[in-house]
Amino acid sequence: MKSKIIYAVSLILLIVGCKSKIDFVPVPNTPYVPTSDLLISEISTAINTDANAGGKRNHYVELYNGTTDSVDLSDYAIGYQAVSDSSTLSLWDFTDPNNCLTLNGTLHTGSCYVIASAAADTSIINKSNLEWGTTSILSANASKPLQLSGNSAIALLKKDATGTYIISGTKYRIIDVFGSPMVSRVNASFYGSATSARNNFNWTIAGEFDTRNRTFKRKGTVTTPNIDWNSSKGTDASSSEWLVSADKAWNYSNLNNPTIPPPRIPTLTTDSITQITDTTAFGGGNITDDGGSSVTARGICWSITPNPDTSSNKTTNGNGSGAFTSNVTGLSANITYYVRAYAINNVGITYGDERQFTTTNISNSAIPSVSTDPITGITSSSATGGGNVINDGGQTVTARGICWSTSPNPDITSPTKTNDGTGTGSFVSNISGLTSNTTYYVRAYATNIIGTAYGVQEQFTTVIVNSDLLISEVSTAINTDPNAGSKRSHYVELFNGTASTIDLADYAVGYQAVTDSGTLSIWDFSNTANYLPLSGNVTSGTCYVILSAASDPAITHQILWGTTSTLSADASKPLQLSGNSAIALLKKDPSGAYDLGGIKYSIIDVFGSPLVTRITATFYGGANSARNNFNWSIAGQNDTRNNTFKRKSTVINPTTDWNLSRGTDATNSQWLISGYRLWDYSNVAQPTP
Amino acid sequence: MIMMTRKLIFYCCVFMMSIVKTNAQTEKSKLKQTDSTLMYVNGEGTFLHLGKAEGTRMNLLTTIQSGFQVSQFDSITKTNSNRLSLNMVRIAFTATGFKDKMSMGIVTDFTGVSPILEGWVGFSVYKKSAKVILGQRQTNTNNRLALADERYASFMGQTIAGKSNDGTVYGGLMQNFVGSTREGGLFIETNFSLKKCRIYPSLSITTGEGQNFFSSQSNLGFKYGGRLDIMPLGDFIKNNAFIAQDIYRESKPKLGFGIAASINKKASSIVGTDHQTITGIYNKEGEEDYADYKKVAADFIFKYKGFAIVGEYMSGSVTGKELYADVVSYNKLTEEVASQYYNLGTAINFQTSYMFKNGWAIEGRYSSVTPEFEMASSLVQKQTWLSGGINKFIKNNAVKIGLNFTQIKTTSSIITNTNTIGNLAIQILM
Repeated sequence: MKSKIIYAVSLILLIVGCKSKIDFVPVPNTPYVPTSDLLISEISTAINTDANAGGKRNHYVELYNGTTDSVDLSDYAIGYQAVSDSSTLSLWDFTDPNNCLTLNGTLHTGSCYVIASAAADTSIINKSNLEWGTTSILSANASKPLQLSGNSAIALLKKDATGTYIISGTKYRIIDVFGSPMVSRVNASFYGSATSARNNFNWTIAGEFDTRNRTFKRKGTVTTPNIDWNSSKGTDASSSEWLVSADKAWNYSNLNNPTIPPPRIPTLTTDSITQITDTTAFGGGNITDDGGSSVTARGICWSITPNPDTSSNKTTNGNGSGAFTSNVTGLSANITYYVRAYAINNVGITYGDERQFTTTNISNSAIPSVSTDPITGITSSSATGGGNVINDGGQTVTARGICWSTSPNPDITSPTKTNDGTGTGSFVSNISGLTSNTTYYVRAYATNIIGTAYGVQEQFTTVIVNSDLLISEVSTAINTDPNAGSKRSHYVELFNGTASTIDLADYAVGYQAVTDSGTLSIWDFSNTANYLPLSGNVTSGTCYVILSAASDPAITHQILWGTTSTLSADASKPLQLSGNSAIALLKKDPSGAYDLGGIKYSIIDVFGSPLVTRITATFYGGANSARNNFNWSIAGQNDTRNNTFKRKSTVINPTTDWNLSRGTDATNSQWLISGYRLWDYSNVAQPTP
Repeated sequence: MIMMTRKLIFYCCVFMMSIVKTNAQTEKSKLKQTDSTLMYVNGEGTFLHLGKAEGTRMNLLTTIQSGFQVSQFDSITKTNSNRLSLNMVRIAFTATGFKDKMSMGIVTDFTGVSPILEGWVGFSVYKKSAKVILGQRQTNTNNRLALADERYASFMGQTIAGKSNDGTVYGGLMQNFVGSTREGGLFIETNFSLKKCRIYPSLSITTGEGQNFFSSQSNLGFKYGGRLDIMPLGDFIKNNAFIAQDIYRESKPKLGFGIAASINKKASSIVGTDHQTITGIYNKEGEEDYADYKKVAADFIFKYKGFAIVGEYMSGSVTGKELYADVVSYNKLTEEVASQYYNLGTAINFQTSYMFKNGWAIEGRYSSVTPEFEMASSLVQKQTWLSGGINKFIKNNAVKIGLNFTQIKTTSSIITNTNTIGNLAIQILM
């Protein structure tokens, strides 16, 4: 027990107390801000009488263009004004042209312009753009430009029509100053032996009392020129806009270069997390600003709580600015993680925006469970299917639908599939683009990250589509048959088996009776009474019935045609169909052979034909009828009177070849025959099943 | 100085008297208790007992150590040097009285600028179960071997005012993270037993400004610390728990564990044992400021029949807030920058020895120093210390003659150098 206590105490002490840590209050990043105008960026006040100055007056004024554009220096001028005591306050005065310097040329953005005293050392002159003022180093000339022993003020002026200072006939206004005759000075102790009446007076700057023999650098954080010298010089190092060198510690190394702003923490963003698995993910970040200090380490850090930092899990992905990628490893399945990119420079550490992601749970997951719904709404080109995602398998179902093919076991590699949303539950799928009279295989599918599951396969066959309108049912009931009730229940049924509605105005029905078995003749519709132009529409899958006007009106029909007479004398008039009358379905055709009322038609379908020989059928009942004894054998049946004929549903194309149509037996005939006197009108106006 | 001279003459007279009175006695002899006794013990000095039972008892002990050193510093070029020196010149006087309720101690050292090495007054409180000490003495917040006087150090070498400039005496751990061991302050110590186990806790509040700092403090904080010593096998003989060699030859196995920690608020020197040797640290207002220096030590010792092994660990680190390396808060005093002002890092020290019955002792020592930040400008650099030595003890610790060498290999990112030091020394305690 004692040993355990010792170990525990030792461990705590070691963990708690062995790492150094200096805390700083985070300072919000201050991104680079361009200056609003040209400003004074560096000045030297070296005293030539100082033994260390080597008799040189290393005075200069540095201007800095921190704006985003080049500056035309001809808009600017420099004003010089010396003071001679500590208390006399006066206004700026540039009436003496010797105290003014107009500038010329262009100063590019980010560049400096140095005006050096003509009495300066060559090391200063060489770094300058312009020399100005007296070359004398005599004390008598110590109040002439560009002598800056601490008691001389410098003004940066800019052309302005409203300005109050006139230099070379042009109005200027002051935009920036170093020193000011309107601000009182202090009587500083003269460095060295004898005092100088002139050099004893200077402004306190940044809390420094004796500001002679110094170099002054404008802080890099200053972005606007300042005509208020009191606020510019400040009262201490913190409030001043100027960095002051130590006494006589002249430092010209940065001359003609802008003051480097203090380094800041980097700025960066965090990339979205991708490629997420149970234990790994892929991320990264982009360091858009290194803060002026090289990024020494970067990466991403993550934890299961918000605001992860580098004390938690992290990657290390090199150094420097720019984009980087990171592989996150060692994660646990189905856990939400928070991620931030980080970057470290000499100033400190900073983090990008926070992102979060949840790891997958593949190791405990399966493919979904899905069932396939029966196929409904089958047409020649479309159908309706669907399915039900019963279980997502533990992972989100990212895709679901049905897939189909003319081959068994279709899958999602097939282009023929639907995409019906995500997640679990039922869905309905519309199948389109099908081919008529074709068998298709259908399976519902559901996909999650594990894989794709399929339901049980369904199959269906699309509806057959006819090529055109055709004659689908005809009746040849004989009115003289005692069972016919003296009715001539004749009709011609047309069927639209196409996929579209048919405009009947393009069609007509022709009628032609024959009177013997052997006489062959061509179709003849010269008698307007033997044809009937149609009108109206017949929709896909429906029928149009032309009923004999002498028929039982109870038979469903759309139009009555022909004679109402049931007399034998009228038995060869439309629409008497006792077995020896042929019906033709005609369609408008500019090149057609038949002129019906001035419009050309072609025959597209027939029931009977004057071009095909008939046979003499045995007359049923009483006396033979000269006319009614002749009819076409159909499907091998000789006496085809007193029957109803239904066109087989397998027939999809009309035909003008009656021999082909009627066939020689029940198998090859296109017609189903009801049986003698077995009239069956139950299916009139409906397609043949 | 005149006062010190007078004191020295007085102590010398007392010492001479004690010699006269005890010259016929053996080291193991004991004086018969009378009203007052005067006794001399080899290696421990002269004891004066006034009155019966718990009367006033005093001890006077002088130490002189002379030495000869040769060294070679091997860097870009080799530099050889040698030195004849008085390694240690001390007089120590301790006394207890008032039925052991009060005690005092004075230790002078004449090698430095100031003769004051220690000076303290102690009070026993709570039925003598605890002791409060006020004054300057060896602080309790360091490693084990820093708690014994240098006169017990097994590697003899020069000390100036209690500090070993070349590190020979205590090795790399103390050279980098301890410095001087004396400090002024308030010390509270106690001890108790848990069955056979002896436990010694102690706490202290000290100036944190090193020895001989008696000025008022402004903008400087105190140093707070403590140490816990646990001896599961019972007490060691005398101060044997805190010296490297088993000079008393423990008859039974003895084991000791210790941990110590301290935080020196606003430490103004590199390891917090000196006063304002650091400049150039400022707060956000541009005022001079300092970081807090933390030390953590853990150690153990085992001794049995002349065999001894000691292991020590120590770390030095700093904490602080809003500290800068310039007055305008431009350059932050980050931890890395702080390593240029403070000794930051860790060190371990192992040494083992065997003391023969005839007074000969051999010893080896290994120290490793690791900087917290491996930078060329860091005050602490990677170092390996190897030491070996042989001592001859005569009359217990009364006379000690020793020969030792130490090799210090320093490796930085810029240069590697080796400093080899050899010492021959003789020490007399009377």
